[in-house]
Amino acid sequence: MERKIYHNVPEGYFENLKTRLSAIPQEEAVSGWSRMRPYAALVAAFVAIVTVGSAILTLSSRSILSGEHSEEFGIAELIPSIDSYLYYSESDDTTEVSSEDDILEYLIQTHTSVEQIAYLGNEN
Amino acid sequence: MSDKEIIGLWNSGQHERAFNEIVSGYSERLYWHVRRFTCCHEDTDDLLQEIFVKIWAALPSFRGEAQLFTWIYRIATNETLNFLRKKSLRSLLSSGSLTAELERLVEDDPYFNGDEAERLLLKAIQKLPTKQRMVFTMRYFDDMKYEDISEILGSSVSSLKASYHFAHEKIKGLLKENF
Repeated sequence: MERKIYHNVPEGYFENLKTRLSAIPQEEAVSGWSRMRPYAALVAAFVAIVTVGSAILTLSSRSILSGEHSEEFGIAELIPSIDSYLYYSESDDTTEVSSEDDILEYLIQTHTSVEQIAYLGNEN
Repeated sequence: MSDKEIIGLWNSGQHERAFNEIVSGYSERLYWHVRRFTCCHEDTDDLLQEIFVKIWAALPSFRGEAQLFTWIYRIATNETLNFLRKKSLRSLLSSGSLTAELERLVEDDPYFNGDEAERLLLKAIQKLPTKQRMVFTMRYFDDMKYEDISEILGSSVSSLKASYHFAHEKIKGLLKENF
């Protein structure tokens, strides 16, 4: 294929580029585990929570069945668990505003077209 | 090494060697392909790294139904289009436009070594809609066949020919305004 090139590149750039790109298979092999590590930690934490939770539930259900806390359990059932003031509170949302990168990422992932954004921007 | 031999290497289990052959044969070609759309050496350099990571990750799923050449160019083109889309959104958020940003990059490019007419041509290309820009660039600069461009962009040959014709007419008009 014939090419028309109107640019040059820094000296030795393509040799350096080839060396860097050739290292990708090794880098990816290492970063594969680095990428998986947070997920592995998440799975381990989840397993730990489930184990501890089921142990607590088993122990407490045993004590309920044996009739130790039946009275307290009945009273607790009658107390509303959500304070209506808190539930209907109109206090301001203190969530941090997303960064420009988050907004961009969201727009890309929701396949929002550039034209739509331009249109909405003009409307506001 | 030919694409067929590279595929043979991969199929015989020599994965890294096959990848290194792809790097040797395609890195420079893809650099110029991507550079014509980003209009910036640094952005092209970053994008090439991502493109080759994608190629390495996708190679196991290459079934050989398409040519290796068009398959690689398709990955590179899609990554470039994603990059331009992000850049376009960024420009919109800062009340600018991608066309103006690309024209500025062409104007200020420290690695440009053509003459003034060639600079005007590059600036006129940035004014084209994306599809026309893609087809025109691949035909004019790389002299690619319509059949190959069709495989890369996933468009029919007839629609590509129409896009090229419109692009050619627009560029002719834009260049006339400057001479």
